[in-house]
Amino acid sequence: MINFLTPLYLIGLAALAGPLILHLIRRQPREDQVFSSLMFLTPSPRRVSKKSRIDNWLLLLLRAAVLALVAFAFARPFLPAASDITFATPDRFRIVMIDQSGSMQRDNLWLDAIAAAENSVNDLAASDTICLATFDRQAHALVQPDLQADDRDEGSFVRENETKSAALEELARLKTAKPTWLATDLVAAVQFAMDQFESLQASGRWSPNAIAEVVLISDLQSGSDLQRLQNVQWPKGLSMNLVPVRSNSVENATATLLGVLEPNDAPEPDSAATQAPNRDRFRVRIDNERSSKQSSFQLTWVDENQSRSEPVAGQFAVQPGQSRVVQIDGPSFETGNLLLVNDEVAFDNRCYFHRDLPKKPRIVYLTNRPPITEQNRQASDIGYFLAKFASAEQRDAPELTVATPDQLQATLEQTNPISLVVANVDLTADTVAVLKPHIAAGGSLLLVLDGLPKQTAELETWWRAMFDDSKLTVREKKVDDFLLLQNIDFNSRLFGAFNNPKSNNFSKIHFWKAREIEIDDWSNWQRLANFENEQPAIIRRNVGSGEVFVLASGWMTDDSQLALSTKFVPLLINMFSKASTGAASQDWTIGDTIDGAIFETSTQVIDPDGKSIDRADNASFTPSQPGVYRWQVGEKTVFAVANLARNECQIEPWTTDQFERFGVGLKEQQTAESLQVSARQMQDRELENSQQWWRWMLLVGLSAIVLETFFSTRRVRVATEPV
Amino acid sequence: MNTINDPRHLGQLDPEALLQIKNLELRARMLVDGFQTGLHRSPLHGFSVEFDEYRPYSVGDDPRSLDWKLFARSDRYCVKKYRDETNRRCYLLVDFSRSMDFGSIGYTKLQYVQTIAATLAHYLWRQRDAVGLVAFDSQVREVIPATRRHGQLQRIVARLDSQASGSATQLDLPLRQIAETIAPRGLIIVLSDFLTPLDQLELPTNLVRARGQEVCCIRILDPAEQTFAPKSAVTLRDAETGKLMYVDPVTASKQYAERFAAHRNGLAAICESAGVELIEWTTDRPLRDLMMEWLSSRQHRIAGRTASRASSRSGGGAR
Repeated sequence: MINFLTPLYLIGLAALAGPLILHLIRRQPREDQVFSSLMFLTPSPRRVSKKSRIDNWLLLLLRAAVLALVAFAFARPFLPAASDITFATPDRFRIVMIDQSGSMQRDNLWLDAIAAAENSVNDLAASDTICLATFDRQAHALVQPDLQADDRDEGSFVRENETKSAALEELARLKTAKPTWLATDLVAAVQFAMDQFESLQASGRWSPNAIAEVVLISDLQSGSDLQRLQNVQWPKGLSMNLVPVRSNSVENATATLLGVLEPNDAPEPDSAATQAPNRDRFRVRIDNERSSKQSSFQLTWVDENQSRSEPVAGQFAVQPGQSRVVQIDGPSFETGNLLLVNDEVAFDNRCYFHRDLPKKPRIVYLTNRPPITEQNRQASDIGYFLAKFASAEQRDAPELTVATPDQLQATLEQTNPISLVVANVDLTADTVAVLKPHIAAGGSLLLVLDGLPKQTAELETWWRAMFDDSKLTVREKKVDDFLLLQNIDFNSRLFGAFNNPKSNNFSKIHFWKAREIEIDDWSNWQRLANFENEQPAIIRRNVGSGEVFVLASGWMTDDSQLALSTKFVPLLINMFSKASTGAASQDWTIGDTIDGAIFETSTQVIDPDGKSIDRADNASFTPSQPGVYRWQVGEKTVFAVANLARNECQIEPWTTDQFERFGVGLKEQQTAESLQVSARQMQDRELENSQQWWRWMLLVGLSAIVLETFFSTRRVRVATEPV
Repeated sequence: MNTINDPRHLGQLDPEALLQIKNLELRARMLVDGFQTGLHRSPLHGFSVEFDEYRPYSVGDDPRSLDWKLFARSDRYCVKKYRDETNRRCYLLVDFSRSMDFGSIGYTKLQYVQTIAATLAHYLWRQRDAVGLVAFDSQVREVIPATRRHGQLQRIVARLDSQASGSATQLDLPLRQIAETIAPRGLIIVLSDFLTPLDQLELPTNLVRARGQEVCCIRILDPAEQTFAPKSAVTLRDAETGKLMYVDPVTASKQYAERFAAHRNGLAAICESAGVELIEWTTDRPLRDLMMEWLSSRQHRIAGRTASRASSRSGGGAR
């Protein structure tokens, strides 16, 4: 039985119809004569003549033979002899990489990917070598051949001839696992595969006949940057086979919270929602992918337990391929997520957040003086301006409670947390028992020396009880004209806000009366400002985790101009701001390495599912899922939100030519069948090469042409010769 | 004497040789020169008018027209009347249909007819007749009214020198038009192959004759049309309609001969009954002979007419 190396050329045999048809056509007479008029004629019936008769059989046969021989010669015929040349299928080294990034959570992608990997593994023979790995931000080897053959039993290394079974086991395990929430780094995967290949070459187990290929199973999302492939030199002998797993929906949009608006930020004109009076406002960016068909979106706030949802009013139109930043009203709860409602691809539609709702600072004015009335408002009582401040139409305006020493305990318990306790000079020693634990737990106290106490001893007793280690002496200071503040510590929190040329001028605040403070041990105290004569004006010290300020004058108009100054309110706010400044909530991206320092003393972190994760001291932490993480620092709960990496949301797939652009050697996967086919082809080629029938066929064909030329010219000569 | 240079021999040239001359006007002039030279053996003196009859003199007649010789013979005053032929209107009706574009002997019927028509035009022009042309095929294509204006001859020759066009021969249309528009007592020469059904011919011919026109039909045929004898079975294409017809030589030529003869006889009968002169001519015969034929037949007619008129008058006189 004759075989052909390139049997497609046999189609050329169809050209045999050519001469056959030509020989038939020549028989058909076409004597079509013009005559002036057919009016005297009637059509005669046609005589049936044998039109299909072929003359010149010899010429026809010669011509057909030429065509047939040429077609056969091109088809390279050969006889399949029992040849001693056999080609074995070469060894194969295959690196199977499975994408386990966040975008693989979509639809059925993960199971599709595992199935593709199983196909790829099953195709190999048991003697072939497999390296199985997953990748997200980096590659994780699951099965690696032990190339050193030193029977390492650690990690993913298995014996070379057991890799297939090990890989199949791993894949079965992966089926039940879930992809991570991490971002994709295709370049890291490529790098890993190249490293594997290099270590194979380095191990000396690599022959140039063998086939090494990378099977990269991924959704190839464009969020993964390919630019770094430029720095990668693709090795010779390694081929890459991209197996894209595709989801039906590639339309995707993402909402990202950009932060809370400062209250004095002017609302943007295009912000769709109307501003609610007592809500903070968020800035949200909505990105819509190019392939998307949806262009109108809704947003909903969902709280942590998924129990409450507050839809954001209005539709947000974002054209495909564009981004838009909008301002929306914040929710009434502190922790939760912002859900992008009408987007098909769901895995990245939630953006988690946590923020402390703005709280009204509370000030307790501790006094046993009679209540302030309109009559004694000019009287020397600091409570008057505190009340003024509290009633001001301002966002930071505090809530003021006036308490006598007897009521203090109850007030502090009732209205926790208290931002600041302001006390005048008429302090009684019995308040220490209440104040001290309050301050030690993080409260603040401002002691205003708005005059000399009736009994100095009472204050001194209080002082000693309060600070244990120091002694206070207070005297009325003699002031000639007025005093000004100097040596102001602008690095301190209290005056830090004034540290700029516009607001660091305190020379307009005149002090007419002041008290001289003498403390035997200044070591625990910090002087924030002095009077001109180097006498302390404002001092501060820490007590527990709270702090105590002492102002050596008053702010009533009798004592100074402080309360009338624009600096008064900021100063007070700065004093109690510490109480409301918890550590700001952290914004994490899943997979980031978080420095252990921020956890301070906490050893447990509660993840979004409510499970607590133990962590060692100072060890870094990596959030692995989106949501709100929290931990305790002292009595305070610190929040951190982990969101998907921004680029993981770009799910439009790369095309294969993007890889080719960076020089990655793409090639179809070489299955066992295709290898067998190519081996057989090689054998055939060898046989044909040894037989070389085509040369003889061309030779015979050429001689047929010569004969044909001879016969046809003779025939023409005979036909044209005069009789 | 060199026969070629003698204009008298020119017309007797083989028509194929004559038709080698590309310029139609030159061809026609050469032909008419040779022909006229042969015709007028003695120069014609006097008038180009023809004597018609005597009339008794009445007061008011021009005394110059009195025939004194007759007065001397018969002592009667008679006035000589002449028949004026110079202002006769002659129309050439030339068939330009595609059937005319057929020729089996190296030139077509149309080329032959063009030469004849141009020659006739020249001849008539020299006779001081007003010559006009009607070119027709399936319809009347162009009418050049008969005048003696300057350049008329060139106009006619230019129109004659054009290709065949129409898809049918419709003789009745130009004949009707002529009958309706042309002043009576003109001469109409129809140049065609008359390969058209006869029924459409009878009425218009009679109409034209009734208007007092003198009609002369010159039928030009190709020799192959006269005797249709294909050598082998052929598919024939009608030159006018494009119709294809497969023809068997044996049966067809016999049938053709019968039908053609019937058609020819029918045509002759129509012409006879209408008093129309019919000359049938094949293209292989010399052009000059056709001219001579035409001229002699005309002279016969004139002679016959004068004779009949004379006899009718003498008969009348006897009464």
